[in-house]
Amino acid sequence: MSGLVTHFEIYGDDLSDLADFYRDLFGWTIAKVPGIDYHTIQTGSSSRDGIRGGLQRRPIDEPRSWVHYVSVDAIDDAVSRVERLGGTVVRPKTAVPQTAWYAVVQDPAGNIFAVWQPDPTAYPPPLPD
Amino acid sequence: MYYTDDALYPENQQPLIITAAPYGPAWLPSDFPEDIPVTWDQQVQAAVDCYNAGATHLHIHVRNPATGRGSKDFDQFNYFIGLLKQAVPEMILSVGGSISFAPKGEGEKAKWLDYDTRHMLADLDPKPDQVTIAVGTAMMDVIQMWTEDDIQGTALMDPKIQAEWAGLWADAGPAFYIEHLKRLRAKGIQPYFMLAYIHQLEIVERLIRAGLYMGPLNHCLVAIGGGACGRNPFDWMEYLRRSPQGSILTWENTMRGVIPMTAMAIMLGIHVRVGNEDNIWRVKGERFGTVQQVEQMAKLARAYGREVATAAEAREIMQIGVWYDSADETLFKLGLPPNRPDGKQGFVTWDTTGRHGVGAEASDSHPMAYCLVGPSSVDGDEVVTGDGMGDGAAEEARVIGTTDRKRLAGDTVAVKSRSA
Repeated sequence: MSGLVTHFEIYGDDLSDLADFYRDLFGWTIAKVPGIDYHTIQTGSSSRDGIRGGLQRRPIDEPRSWVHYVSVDAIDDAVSRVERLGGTVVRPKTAVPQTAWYAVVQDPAGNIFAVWQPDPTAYPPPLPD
Repeated sequence: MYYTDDALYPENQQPLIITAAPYGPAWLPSDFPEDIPVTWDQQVQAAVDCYNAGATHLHIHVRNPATGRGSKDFDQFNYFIGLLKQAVPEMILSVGGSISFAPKGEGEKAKWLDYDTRHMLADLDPKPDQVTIAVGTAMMDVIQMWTEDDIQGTALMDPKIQAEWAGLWADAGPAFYIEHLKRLRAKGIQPYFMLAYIHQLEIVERLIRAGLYMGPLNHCLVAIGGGACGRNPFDWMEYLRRSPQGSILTWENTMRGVIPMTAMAIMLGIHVRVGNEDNIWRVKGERFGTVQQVEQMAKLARAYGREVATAAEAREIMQIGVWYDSADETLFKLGLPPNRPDGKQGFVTWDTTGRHGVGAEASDSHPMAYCLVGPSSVDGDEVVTGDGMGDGAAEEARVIGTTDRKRLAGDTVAVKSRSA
């Protein structure tokens, strides 16, 4: 469903220490995903309680904050609407392979959040790198 | 390589080693979704499927499951190699060396200096069996040789992506490869030489003669065009001709050039590489996955009567874990002439005892005697003559062997028996 806050991400450089910080603070269950630099966060006692989150390496230096993900039906439309309404794009549409598309955007006041479109056929777009 | 009369008979050829290259780093997963593995499970399964189809040598690139793009993360390589060692423990794991590992954060960038990011291949843990190494800087514009049909339906149709590839070159000067070979040896990881043309093979020979590489020579002619050897079979054949007899040679091509080149390799007794890294087409317009390509190689070899190597055979043929201790030993094992001793002029050959010849005096024997006696080979230099009764020509011929009989038959000589 569009418009729901689905999950959040926290960023850092030493993920293990940061995971300990939040475990100690809130009692969250934080687990590393094997093979990639990503930790999943379960905030409640079960996966149905509260929303879930992730912990990963900081993609950009500034600004520093958690980022909340808001689900949308169509990522391209959502990004267009952000821009039309005075927001800006921080990170363009990107694939989480076989999972979803996301884009990081900024509201007119400079707050960062992400839009997220689930899509099992999502693959990275062709970008020379 | 030298071909004797029976060298093309499959029973006299090494069992075929099929290298699988199923990770197609040049492709995006959307280019061939059913064949480009993305998740860790898919990447491991690709190796298992290739192994079950007959591939015993795995060319490894790692794709980051979180991004779908090629990984430069040292930890991810270690993680994936660990998974492979569990899933396909017998398969020869050969990590593609064309990679500079990337720092994980801004703060680490200063520590990552130039070639150190490539030398880290020697520090992979668990260690792979091999790491590929380029020797000699060359252009690597792989799409130069491709047609529009070759890249149909892929991101490479985009001119911007093509432009990126057109500028690609492999940096492999002596400042890199000498140190890299040293580090691989220190860690017991066998180098697998990926060579673009004969003159890079010549560099490898110089390294061997200088004692900078001492070990078995597994090499691949990377006939991908765009700076490397292309699709002229005469170039392939010349490379084959110039390859040391004791080396283990694989042929690699791209797109639909793979099929004819590998078919030739199978007949010629050398080895093959296939997979979506090189080719995605069975025929024009029909996609061809890695496992299908491996199956095609196995089927073709067996139809011709050549065995497909088991993993144990492949390890023995490639001499995994074997190292030599000197330049001379390496040259000898590869069937190359020795280094020139000081002051030695002319063509150089390995030393012999000088005792292989036969005395040429006495009077009673006729060269024909050597032609009338059935040959019996000798395996040493010791010439054993007859019974000591003075008529040893025929006896001697029996133990001298074919080569000496021919030589002697051409000379006007007689034979001196031991008693003479």
